[in-house]
Parts: sequence; C-alpha cells; structure tokens
Amino acid sequence: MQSSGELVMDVSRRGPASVVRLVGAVGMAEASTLSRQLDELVQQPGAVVILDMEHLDFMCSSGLGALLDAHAKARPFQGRVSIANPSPMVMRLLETTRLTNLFEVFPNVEEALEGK
Amino acid sequence: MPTNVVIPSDLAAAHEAEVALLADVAGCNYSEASTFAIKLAVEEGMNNAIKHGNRFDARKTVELAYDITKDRAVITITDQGVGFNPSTVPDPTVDENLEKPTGRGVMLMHAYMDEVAYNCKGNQVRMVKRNT
Repeated sequence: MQSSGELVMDVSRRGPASVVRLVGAVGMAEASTLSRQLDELVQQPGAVVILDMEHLDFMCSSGLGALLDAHAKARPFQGRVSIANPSPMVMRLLETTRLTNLFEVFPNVEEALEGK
Repeated sequence: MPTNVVIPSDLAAAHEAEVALLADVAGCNYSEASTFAIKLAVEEGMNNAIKHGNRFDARKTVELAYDITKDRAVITITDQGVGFNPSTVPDPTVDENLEKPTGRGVMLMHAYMDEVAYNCKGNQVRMVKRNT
C-alpha cells in the first residue's frame, strides 16, 4: 500500500493483471505519485493494468494526465490500462474530457479482468 | 464572509488554502456535485497560476479570494505572471488532442462552473458556482 497526500494506492496481482485500487483523491500533488506507480506497472510486455476507482472521490486534470501517460507507455508493450467502477463524479469527468473514447470503462473489476 | 489569502507559488500552500475554502463550502451545504465542481475548478485554477502563471517562481505569489454564501461561491485567483489569452488554448476534446496528457484545466473550469471570466491581462480568473 502506498499513500500520497489524499490518495491511497494498493496494488494486487490478479493472474496476468495488476489491479490498482485508488482510494481518496488525485489532485495535482498526488498525480506524480500515481504516475510513478503506473510507470512501473505498464512498462512490461503485455501489461494489463486495471484501475479500481470505486473509492476514488476526486481527480483533477493532472490525474487524468497520469492516466494518459500510462496509456501511452503501455502501447509499445502491447499492454492496456482499463478503468473499473468509477464513481458518478469521476465518470462524468471522463465523459466531459472524452477520455471514455480512449479508456475502456467497466462496471467492476471482475468484468475488467475478463475484458468484456 | 469574503476571504483573501496570498500564498507562495507552492503546491502544498495551495492545498492548504483549498482545504480552508472547501471547509466554507461544506459549511454552506453545497451538493456533492457542486462541491466536486468547486474543488476541481479551484485545483485547476491554482495549478495554472502556480505552474503556468508564476512558473513555480518562489518570489511570486498567488492570491486566492473567495466569498462562499448559501446561494453561490465566487472565487478569484490571481497570479503574478505575464498572463495568457484563454481563447488560444487548444480544445483538448478534439480527436487530435485527446491523448495529450496536459491542457484540460481551462476547459474543465468552464465545464464545471457557471461563470468563468479572465481579466484583460489573463493573469486573473473569476469563477462563480451557484448552489443548485
């Protein structure tokens, strides 16, 4: 478990996938910590990273930048970054920025693991 | 009661000021959606002021002024930078900009607040959110 300001991150392995549970808020102060954590996970062949956002209350544009950075770094490794169970507020943020066009959003972690 | 705080170009100081502002918002019983909107807009505005306005210059300050009532929140953020023209900021939601990791702050402030206006120089933004 890793903590940075208002954010707590917990990474667990689920078969070939890494599930990153995000709890709290990703403001500008926490975004760089999130980015470093995701860097380690996505830069591996075929990396599958699922961001469990059930308990994420807030994210700013710097946090979205961390997700986009991870998305770009995963691509050369044929990996993917997905989002599971975002709160209505975070979902609206993803829709407003049209990032739902880039990231697959699943209703829960289990469905994200199955990729369907 | 109107509040005016001046902070250094420092993310920790900005966070502290934001926490105090959000305590006033909580005290006025804003909805969850309105609270999220205000937090997001202030975060983006302070980030822009420190990062793009003052360029993290420790000699420069950011002024955060706000008046939170039960009806509306009025927030003004002023930096000591050279200012910018918000109309020249590229639209981050068009396909060619979608994967860029930066450039969403101004758009989000407009999307979540009821009013957003800059001064002529472009170093001050005034935002209003009505408590609905």
